[in-house]
Amino acid sequence: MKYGNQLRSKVAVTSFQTISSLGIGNQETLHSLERGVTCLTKDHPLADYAGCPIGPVRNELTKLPPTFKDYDTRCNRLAASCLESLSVQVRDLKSRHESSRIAVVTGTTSSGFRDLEDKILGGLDLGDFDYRSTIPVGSVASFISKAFGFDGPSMTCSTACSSSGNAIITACNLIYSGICDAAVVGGFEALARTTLMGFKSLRVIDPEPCRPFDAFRKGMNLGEGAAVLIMERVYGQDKGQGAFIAGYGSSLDAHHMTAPDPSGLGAETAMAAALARAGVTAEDIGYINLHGTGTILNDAAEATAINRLFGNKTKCSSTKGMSGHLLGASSAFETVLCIISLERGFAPNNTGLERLDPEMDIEILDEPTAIDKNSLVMSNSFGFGGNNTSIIIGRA
Amino acid sequence: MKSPVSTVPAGPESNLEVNISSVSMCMRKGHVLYELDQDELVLKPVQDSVLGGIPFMKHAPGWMQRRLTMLSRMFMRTVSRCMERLDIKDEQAPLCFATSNGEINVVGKIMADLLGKRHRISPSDFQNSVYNAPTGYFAIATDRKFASNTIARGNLTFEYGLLDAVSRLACGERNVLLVAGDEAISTKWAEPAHSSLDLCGALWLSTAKDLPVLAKIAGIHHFKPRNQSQRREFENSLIKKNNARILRDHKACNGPCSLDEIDNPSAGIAHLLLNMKRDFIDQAMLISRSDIDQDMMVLSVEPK
Repeated sequence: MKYGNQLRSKVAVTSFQTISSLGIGNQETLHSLERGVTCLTKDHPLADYAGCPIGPVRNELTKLPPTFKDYDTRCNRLAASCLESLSVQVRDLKSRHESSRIAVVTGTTSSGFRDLEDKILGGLDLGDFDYRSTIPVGSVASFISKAFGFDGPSMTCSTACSSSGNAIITACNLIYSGICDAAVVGGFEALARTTLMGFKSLRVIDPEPCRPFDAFRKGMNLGEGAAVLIMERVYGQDKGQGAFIAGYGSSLDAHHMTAPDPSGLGAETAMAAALARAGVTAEDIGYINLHGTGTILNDAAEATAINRLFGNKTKCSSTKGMSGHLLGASSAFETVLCIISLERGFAPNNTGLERLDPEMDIEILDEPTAIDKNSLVMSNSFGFGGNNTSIIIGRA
Repeated sequence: MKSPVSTVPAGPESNLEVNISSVSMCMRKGHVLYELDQDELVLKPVQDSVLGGIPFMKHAPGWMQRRLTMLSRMFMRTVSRCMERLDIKDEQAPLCFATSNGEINVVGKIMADLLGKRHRISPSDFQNSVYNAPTGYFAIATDRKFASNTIARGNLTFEYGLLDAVSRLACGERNVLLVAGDEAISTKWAEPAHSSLDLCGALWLSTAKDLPVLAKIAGIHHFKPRNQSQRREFENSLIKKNNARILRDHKACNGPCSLDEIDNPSAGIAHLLLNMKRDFIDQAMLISRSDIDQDMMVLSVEPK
């Protein structure tokens, strides 16, 4: 294929890991994807804040050692849990590259909000609460670098729901420009009352498990989780292992702070830029993991853009009916879902879909469907401020 | 110590030449607004009302004009001045916004609403609370659809924003607009972040040969020293190698306070811009150290 060796010699995803309501680790996540049913639940104390199901991580997370007391947030514990399960891969990564040549690029929107809320609501003393290492989003990258011994540049991207998409793009740029040889890239988001109530205030919540692209969809549900991708420069004809980032694109809608441009132009621009960077055409994309939040306006705008760029034959689905919307973590998380399902040669179904919105002329999958393992797949994420990212992934 | 440094391949070792083509900055201390005089590169007091009279905003809808936060207003004003100077109204360039705390005062208000008697959140506060709110408003007001990133990294946020911007130029972009800014913090639980004044600055960075050159980015060096001795060794070797001056050594800024008193996570951009006239005889270096970990960044700039 025309994108073959040239692009495979650039940025490879050599390891990846995820934690969400779908499961702890890639294997549990794969089983959930194959089942294709919702993991959203109302049986959680935070569900009442939005009056809808949410996608919490129920397992106990890694406790941070006392030396990292100042960084102790649920967001950082999600990150630590995800990275600890990659300890062998991290050790191997450090054996391949000098630590100072390994960057850390994270994406999040709320960082330690949940913990601040817990402390204030619990009437706890804020005296030992360290703002600088818990609340500003940059503290997440600082924590990972410090806790896992990466000595390269470390920073956080925060562009609302496309945060970790921009983290992937930023890491690619750091690697392509020669500033680094590898990057640990992650999306991390802990459920927080402020975000649940914020989306409720915008009236974009579905009181039942969300059903993106359905004729009767009412809105979104939120989830939490973490996803880490280890990205490395692969030289020459070495195909690397795992997957590779074939292309990426981003754009601004320039339309509204929270509502998408109904014409889908911003989304289309990001997807077209990703195709152009990958040097491929729409026909080369075997599956698109849609942003697909389940809100009336978002889904309609994305479907319009997809139809214009890809027509109605490309297989598409949103996985947010299973996991909920992981906000700043969603792009990294859904990129990992794409890699997991591509390795098994299938595309996940669009959970919750009962009757496709007749206004949408795109191919939405109502059940897990086989795809060519050698095809390219695309993952879309669109955020507040009209910030759009599109990532194209292939198998190495 | 083997190759302990990540360095942007700018300068003589590579073909990439990154120039600063235009600059602007504003600072608000108390109720007084200061703006960078782009010829003299000093801060001068201006009427605070200029934040309500931003040229872009003439075309912005009323709802936007009512909802803009101080950070967004300063962002718009700074970008407007930076682009006016170059007369590049229609030039589309990727935008990198560097902000350590984002819209922290809006988050403070939301927290108060959540935890107080209201127990509900205003939708406009919620949409204004994201780190990239100023870039979203800017895009709407100017109909700019180019790629945009928002970077955060504590008190090294400006330096990391510059790293992101230069990596984009190294990957083929012709221009990148870098804006760095943070508000004064009025939220009690966020006070340890030490931000007592509003500051926002912008750099138009370019590899183009047909734009003015105010200064050249000679290099960006990242280092994580294990101890003080390694740090000093690293700093001294860079200074000696490049015969450079250190920008933070100068205290005065001809503005509302000394440079040391610019209490804001984006202070690095003020140190750079307010010293460009004075120090740009030889190479000058901005040395910045993280206040929460061992990270340090060294930005080297050369006169045109």
